Amino acid sequence: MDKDWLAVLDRLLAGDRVAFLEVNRLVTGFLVQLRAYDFREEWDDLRQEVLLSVVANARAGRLRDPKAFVGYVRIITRNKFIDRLKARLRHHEKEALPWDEETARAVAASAERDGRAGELWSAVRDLPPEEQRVLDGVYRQGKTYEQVCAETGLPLGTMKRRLRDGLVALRRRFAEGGP
Amino acid sequence: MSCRRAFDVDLADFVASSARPEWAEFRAHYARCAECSAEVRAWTELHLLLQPPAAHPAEELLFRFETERDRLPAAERRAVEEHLARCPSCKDELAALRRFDFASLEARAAASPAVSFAAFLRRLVLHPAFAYAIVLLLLYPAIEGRFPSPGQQAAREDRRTVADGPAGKSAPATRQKAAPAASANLARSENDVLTRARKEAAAPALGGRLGTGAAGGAEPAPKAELADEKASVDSEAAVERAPRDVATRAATPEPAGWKALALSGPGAPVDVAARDLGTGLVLTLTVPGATRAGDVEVRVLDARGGREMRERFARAAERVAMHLPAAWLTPGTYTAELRRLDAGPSSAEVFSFRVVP
Repeated sequence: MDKDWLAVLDRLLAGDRVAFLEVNRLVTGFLVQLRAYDFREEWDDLRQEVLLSVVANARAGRLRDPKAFVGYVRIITRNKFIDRLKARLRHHEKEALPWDEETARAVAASAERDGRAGELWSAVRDLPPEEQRVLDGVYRQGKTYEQVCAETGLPLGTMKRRLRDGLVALRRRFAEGGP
Repeated sequence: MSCRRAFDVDLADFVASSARPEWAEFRAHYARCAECSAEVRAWTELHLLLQPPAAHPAEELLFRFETERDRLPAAERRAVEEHLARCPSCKDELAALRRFDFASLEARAAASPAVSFAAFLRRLVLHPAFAYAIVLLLLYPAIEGRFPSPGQQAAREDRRTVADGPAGKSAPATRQKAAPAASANLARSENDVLTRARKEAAAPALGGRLGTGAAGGAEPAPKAELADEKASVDSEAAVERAPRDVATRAATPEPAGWKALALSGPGAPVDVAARDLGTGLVLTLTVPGATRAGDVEVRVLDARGGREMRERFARAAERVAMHLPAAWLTPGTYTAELRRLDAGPSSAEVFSFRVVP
């Protein structure tokens, strides 16, 4: 069930710490999409800025639509992340940073993510059974490589090769237009 | 020109475990490389689409772990501890909770209560100063007519001249400059974000498929899309402009033009872009528990040791904030030493940051 972000927002404005953590969890999801943790271990200052923007806009009455709220947090997180990344990489404002362009694409694509997960799992069913089994264990059941090896009886190297082959096939299929 | 590294490494492994040391070099590489960025993005999307929603401790539990750890059942406490040991994002969330200044949030709420116009008017009319002002206003013509001084006469002449002058010249130059120099970049970005977020809510089916680098390059870039969007909502932007300035100021923890930087403890220097500094930097430091309520001194040193700024704080609370003018902060590395003054010799807590050109 979708979270009632407007209620969370009201609690945040009242200083509720749990609401603060809930909005932060939303920010975390976007940071993971942006692969922010590849570049720094902590994004406390970015979270603070995003939170302050959210609070200011909520107080100004501009965040009344719960869906717009999620989109707003997604975009503001991405923009502020890129600002920091550019500063960290000492990147000049006028030069294009490839990861900046790609995160813009990722933000645009994430709006339709839910429907595409279904398409992707349908495509998994067309893969060889041994690849399906490994993908299912690692991704759907969230098992570790060791657990999947123990269950399937495959050596680690073989299991990882099957996982990679399955992912490459999915990647190729979606790149070509997909199901 | 065309980089093949993303095709030579095992990206399935990278997207799942990029934090491992053996990926350090590729982590440092891909953000600057168009080919590798496109591949990493596509593989990340694939990885995230396949993954089930991550199993993190509920926010409520995380909060209880932070505030009343000893009262949690041992099993729950151990589970959260184990999770935090392997989950950087949950650790990051808790760190943000510890450092966030909720007092400022509440202070802002108190500073801007939603007072109705009628209540405001009633309060104004009933204020004694209002009555005095009315009396003065009524008496003014009589007083002025009775005691015309040469200065007043000259002023009246001046006023008449100005009033007769061409429109637009009568306003003092300072009034034309009175609008706050709010950061144009931030205002623009806030507008873009709100507009885009609204559009996204209205039409969620934006974006494309997972693409290769080349195919991705052929897609219309979302940046261009944003520009088109911006043009199409010009009127909306114009309507929003005035309140947006207010929001921009409200979103900034310090007066407009000051960049905020919060440091919580020793670690690698945090970068601040010189272009973001504006008037200066508000450096907020977390005061260690043992030092709180005592008198502390913060000493900011240029790493080359040539310059320093000091400020003392009496009865330091959880955090202390020091204002550093932009003119003083030339690009380079700085350390901020926080030391307790009223408890004999003590070692300093050293924070660091870097101003990058």
